[in-house]
Amino acid sequence: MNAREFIRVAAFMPTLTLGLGTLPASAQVDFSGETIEIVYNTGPGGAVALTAQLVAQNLGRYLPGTPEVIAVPMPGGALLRGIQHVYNSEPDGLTLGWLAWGGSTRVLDDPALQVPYHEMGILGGLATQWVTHVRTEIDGTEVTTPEAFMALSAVRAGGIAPNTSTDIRTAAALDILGIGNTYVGGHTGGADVLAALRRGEVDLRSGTISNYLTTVVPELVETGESIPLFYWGLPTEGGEEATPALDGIPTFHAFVTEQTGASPDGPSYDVIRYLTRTADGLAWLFALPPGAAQDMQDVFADAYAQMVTDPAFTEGAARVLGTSPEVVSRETAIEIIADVQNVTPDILDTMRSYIERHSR
Amino acid sequence: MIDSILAGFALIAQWPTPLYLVAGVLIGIWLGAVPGLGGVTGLVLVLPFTFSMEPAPAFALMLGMFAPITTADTLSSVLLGTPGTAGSQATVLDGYPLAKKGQAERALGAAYTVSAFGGVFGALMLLLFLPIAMPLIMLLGTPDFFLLALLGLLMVGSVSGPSLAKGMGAAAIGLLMSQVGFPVSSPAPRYWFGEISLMDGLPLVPVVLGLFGVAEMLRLSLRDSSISAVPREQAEGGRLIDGIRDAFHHRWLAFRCAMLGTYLGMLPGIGNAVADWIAYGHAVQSAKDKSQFGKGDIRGVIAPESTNNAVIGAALIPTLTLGIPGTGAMAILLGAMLIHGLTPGRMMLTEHLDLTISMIWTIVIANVLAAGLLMIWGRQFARAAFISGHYIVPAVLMFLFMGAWLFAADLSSWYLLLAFGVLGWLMGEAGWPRPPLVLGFVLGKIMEQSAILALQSYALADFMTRPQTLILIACVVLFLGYSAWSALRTAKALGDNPAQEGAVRNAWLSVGFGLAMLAIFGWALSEALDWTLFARTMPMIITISGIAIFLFTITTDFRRGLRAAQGPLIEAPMKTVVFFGLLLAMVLGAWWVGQMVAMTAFVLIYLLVVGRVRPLWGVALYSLGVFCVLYGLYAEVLNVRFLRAHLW
Repeated sequence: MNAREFIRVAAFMPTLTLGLGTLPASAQVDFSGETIEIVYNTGPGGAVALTAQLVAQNLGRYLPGTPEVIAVPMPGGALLRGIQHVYNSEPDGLTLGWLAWGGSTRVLDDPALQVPYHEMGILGGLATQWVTHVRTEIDGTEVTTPEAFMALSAVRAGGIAPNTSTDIRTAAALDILGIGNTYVGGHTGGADVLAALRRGEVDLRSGTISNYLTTVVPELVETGESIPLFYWGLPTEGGEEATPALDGIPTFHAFVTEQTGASPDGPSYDVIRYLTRTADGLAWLFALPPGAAQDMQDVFADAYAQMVTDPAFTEGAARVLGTSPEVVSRETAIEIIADVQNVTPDILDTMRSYIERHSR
Repeated sequence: MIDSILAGFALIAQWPTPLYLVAGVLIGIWLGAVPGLGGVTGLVLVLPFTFSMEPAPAFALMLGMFAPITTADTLSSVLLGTPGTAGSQATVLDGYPLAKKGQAERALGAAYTVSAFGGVFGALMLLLFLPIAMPLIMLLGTPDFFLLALLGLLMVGSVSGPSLAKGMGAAAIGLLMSQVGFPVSSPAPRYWFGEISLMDGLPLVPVVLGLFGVAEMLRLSLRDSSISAVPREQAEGGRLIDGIRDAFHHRWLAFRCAMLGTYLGMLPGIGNAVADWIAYGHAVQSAKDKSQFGKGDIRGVIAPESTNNAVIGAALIPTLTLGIPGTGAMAILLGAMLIHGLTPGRMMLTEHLDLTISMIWTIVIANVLAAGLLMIWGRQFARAAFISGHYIVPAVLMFLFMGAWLFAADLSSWYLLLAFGVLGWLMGEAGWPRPPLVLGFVLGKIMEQSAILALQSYALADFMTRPQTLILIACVVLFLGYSAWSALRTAKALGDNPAQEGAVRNAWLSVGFGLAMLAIFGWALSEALDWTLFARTMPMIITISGIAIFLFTITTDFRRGLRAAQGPLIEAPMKTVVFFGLLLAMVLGAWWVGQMVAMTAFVLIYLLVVGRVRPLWGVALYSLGVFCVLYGLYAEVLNVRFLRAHLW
């Protein structure tokens, strides 16, 4: 029995127990006096942790019995430890996951390490976006306009690891723009890449919308150290969706069209669209373990849908994220997970080629 | 500026902020004193409570709690030979021998004095350097980080004991351990045995707690006596006031180490785990008489304790000014800032300057207050050194195992803790020093990451045109020569103390240890051959160097074994087997009966069988107390998720 089979059997056992008549669920869903754990799969302190804390602080009010809800960190295993913990937990509603799920690139992992997310009780999530910005001085050349950027022959792009969705997209975007790019990977996180950019060790990076608005704009853009280039907008028919919070910055599609006179296409752009839809469109997944009764899933999904409109949550999230949280509904989250399951071999091959190119 | 300083103080003085500050200090003392808890645990614990608070009291609580942890962690380092946190690892080297001499009070007195000084110094430097911090931090790039880490690794000579070769061998083991998990720029993890808990590398907490904590508890248990070998009434020159005098006597050492801590703290990614070793190495290198280091030299306590408190204030500089959190704890503080609508950067020096300065006040007050309180309680704490070790061992083991569990709530963390406990004990028995292993382990990842990033970002010619890089290269070269010369002298002076790290032991056991390492390094080398260039370079350098070192030590130990009759292979083998057997039974039993039951049962059996503690009602009370701590403190207060019992 391989690891995946083991996970499935382990997940099936509680389902079987439920089926044998312990909990008929639905109307009996009542968490009075219970403590519910929201497990997040990163270390404490980052955006995932803080939003998990905010969910924990606000969710209980919308659940039957108004239980205590706590956020529990479970980092490790390249984010997999927390995911597997939630996956293998009993579907009794006392353990939920707030997960940086990374499903869009995990499809390339060893099958034994892949997680069948579609088996989990999907409740919704949050989306994010990434803004690519560049230093205004590269090897003595001033880069204060997009046109000056387009005139560059090559740049050093800072990143974290070859298989992260952002690093793959950054390379794909530069390829489409016809700008030579060297990957400087291995930084410990976004802040580390930002420091490298300020030291002049990398020329360009992509940061989350939150990082861009709260740090990059006041510290680098307003001081003339960096200019924004574009962001990857959620794919639409024939283009990308604009984000009001990033008014004044073009989507990647608009940037390419404006700078080259032609719309982007080809395998690299297919990868960008796939990753933007699945990785940005569902950055953090809120889910129950597999086997949770449908009524229980409904209770949690409804509670989440109500909570995300509560000013106590939205204001807190806006402070952490630098902009209003982009809520992902349960239905959209389920669609995105299905998209990942059905990703085409061509897109997988293109992603693999970027990972190979960046692996050293 | 004066207005801002006063405005910052006004924020701290405004009720109920002083209450939160004092509460924070008390929690911080507790978190530091119990091995395995530490700052991250505390910040995670209090962070949710601060969401609805005003920023000033929120940061008074968090920083008030965080700042004194590196003062209180000295208790565990001195009294138990176990680092209370990663920032007090080097304190163990001389603090614990002082406790064994009955001079725990003196060690604590010196440590608290310089901790308060270092903490205040770091906070004042934060105030002074805030406006000009950015160029100072940005001055050093990835090549310089590599050279700094290399400079730190050269301290291996200072912590190796009598045999430099074994120190280098131990450092190679630590460096190899640092290679577990994802390499810097490749998506395939190394040496992970298909275990996902190893994908991100070996965790520092179980490694250090096992190497020092578990191994020292075994030693204490085998000694069948108190920590101090000297009765309380016969311990001379070991009073708290003597320690305070020592601190003033070595004030320039404390000053230099506080400066060192300030600069190292400012550099993101270096942190306390590295800074205190470098400070210890500096104390050894700069001392004329090195003969007492490792045996209970007060300078070996003063240097790291002055440094690790200074690091705290300095670590806030990149967090506040650049939004770059150098450590996990700083990442949480950064998160707390965002929650309160504060953006790191220039606004912290303009719009929110009063709040920034209130943080500095918090650090100053918390350090002084904590040191004062710990001084007052110091005598009571130091008494622990004179009571039977059997009363201490089971409770400390509980804290150690819970410390590992807090770090990763997974049985693999217990297995790791136990495995490194065995390794720590084995190294002690075989005469291999443990500190170089930790030094290699904490520096290995920094060295590899900064080297690979530097190679990607710079051309070779760039290195030669960077003055800061050239200065550091010169420092490395000079220090290498000095270290080699100094280490040989130190080794000669240190070779006569059987209780010291790396002291000469049975040669045949050392040969066996060397052979085992040779096999492991050979296997690690063969694994590395197929990896990508950057993924294999560091492991190959480490393994090839390690193989050469182990061949050398095996040869010299073999000759030594043939030359002279050797003592017993290991001390008290049966008791050792029982000790580790009980711990293994606890770990295995935890899966079946749950951790609380397994740990309580371990304590009960230990007290009855190993400690032969009587009366029985006392044993029952002790075990009940352990259960209550597990339930009340860990399960209820800290919300620890215990493993459920699978038997019922």
